Amino acid sequence: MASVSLQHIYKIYSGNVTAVSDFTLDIEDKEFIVLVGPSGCGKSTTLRMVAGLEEISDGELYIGDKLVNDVAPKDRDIAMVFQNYALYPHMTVYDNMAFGLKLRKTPKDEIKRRVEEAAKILDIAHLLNRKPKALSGGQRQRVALGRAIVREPKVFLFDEPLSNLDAKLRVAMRTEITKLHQRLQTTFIYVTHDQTEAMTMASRIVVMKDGVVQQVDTPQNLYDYPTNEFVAGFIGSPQMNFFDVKLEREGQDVVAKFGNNKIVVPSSKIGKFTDESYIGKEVVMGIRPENIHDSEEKLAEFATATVDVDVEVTELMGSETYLYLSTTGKEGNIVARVDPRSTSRAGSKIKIALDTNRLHFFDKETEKTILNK
Amino acid sequence: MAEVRGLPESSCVVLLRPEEKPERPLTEILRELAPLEENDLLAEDGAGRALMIKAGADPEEIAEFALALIDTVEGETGVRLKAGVSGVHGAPEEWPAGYREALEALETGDRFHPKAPVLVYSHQMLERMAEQIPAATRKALRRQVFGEHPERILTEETVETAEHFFEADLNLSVAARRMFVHRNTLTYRLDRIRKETGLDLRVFRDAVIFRLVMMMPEDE
Repeated sequence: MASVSLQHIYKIYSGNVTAVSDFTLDIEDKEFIVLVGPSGCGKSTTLRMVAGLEEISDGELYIGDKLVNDVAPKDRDIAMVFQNYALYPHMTVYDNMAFGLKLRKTPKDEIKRRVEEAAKILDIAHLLNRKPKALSGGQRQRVALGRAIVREPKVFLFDEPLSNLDAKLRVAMRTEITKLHQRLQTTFIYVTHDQTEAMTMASRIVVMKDGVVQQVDTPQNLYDYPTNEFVAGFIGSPQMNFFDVKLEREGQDVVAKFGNNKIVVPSSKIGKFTDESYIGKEVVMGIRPENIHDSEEKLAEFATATVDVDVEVTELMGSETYLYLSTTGKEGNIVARVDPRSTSRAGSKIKIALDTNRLHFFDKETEKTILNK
Repeated sequence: MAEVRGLPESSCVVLLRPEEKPERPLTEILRELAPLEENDLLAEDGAGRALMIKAGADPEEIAEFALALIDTVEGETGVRLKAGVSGVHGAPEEWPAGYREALEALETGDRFHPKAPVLVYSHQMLERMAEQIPAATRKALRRQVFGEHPERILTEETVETAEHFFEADLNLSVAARRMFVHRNTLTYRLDRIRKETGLDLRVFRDAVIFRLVMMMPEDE
């Protein structure tokens, strides 16, 4: 068990291409940190620097109290689970799990103890004599996890370990990995491009873009208080809807105008503006799909924030329905997540209500939030 | 062909290429880390690559072995490898042909699948066919399907959608499940591709055209 500290870490490739820029983060012992972001954002490179698989161009990396910039991967006391969970096809599950320990010349008895213990944790003890060919995708993934567990490392590193699994198995393994973290009580650093994985597993999430950390926070805080437009759009599925609006004062009210639409922004929201001079300016307004409603009750509740829309597509998901809507002053679709009993149908014209207490506002130039927490 | 005692009856050539020159010879690293079997052979190819004659008659299984080996080497030493896997060969006289196939698999992979760690010769027939088409024809075909600005159509989302759909043998439900999107979302995306290219990927003939033209190398 160990803390991991990354201090002003840079990764610069030849040709002056910066893959990771000034990455600073203190990961506490036993934390489950998830690095998330689109492909090319530097998350895997960061993880690989922690693993020692990429050289650190600048900055300092500590595992526990030890500076490990120049320590070889095998001596860092970490274990990495890769994306492809490849197993040696000619070896049994037992031998696959034991292989890394054999390379380290671990005594046979100790190997046996560790493999059997890990197999028990992962519920694959009955599979130890099987070859990988006879395993399902989920069982193979467990063996790959077992291979890491037997190392008894201080830190586990996961590089998109679930991305090769189908959706159903991915959900199941997500839970398994969370349970594993609780059971092993070890530091986990996990890389994914899937924000749902990040939200469901992490104690803290690091959102990255273009090699730069955008925000580090708990899943709930990231969702409720995104620091900029990128984080707001990246976290949440379907993603937050954005509107280019102009904020104007009309009598006592402040309104947000886009196309032929006008909604009243509640004073409680205006009170949170970092700078009142945004009133009169163009800003970006955001609202999550679940905060857009088509029920009579909500239309009455948010009567000063209704928008006329055309319903283009509806997707019934079982527990909810997604509406893909269009209106004036909004490029692309607005996505609303509504009750599955909604009567809105593709091709119809309806009214929707925006829950104005849940609006987000961003500076049009800097894309940073203009709301205080 | 007479069986040579002590040598594998059938084997594939695995050519392992480091992405950066390692501090020690690659064969030395592999002798330490690779779980070689009795009939496997390991040698240098004189160009910094390691050549492995791996006993077995199933390129898929040998590709899996190569992938596991790549993980082991990377995890233990930080050295990143790529592997080319030949077709199945028999007697030692066939090994040079196997070597050429493994090398070609690596080189074709560099052009078509630069991120794939293991490239299997027998999987690349379509890629090799695409490369045989003259540059002028390729250009005309690309323009016909994707217009003047292919990058506007071949966005990351479109390429991912098409690839998943092809991987799922044009099965909407399977592809949607694997992509973690709703069936309607996938239908919507396929409709958009049809609108932009005139090709309906749900129709086998159109899917073949799209797949082939999509993988054609761009002109230098």
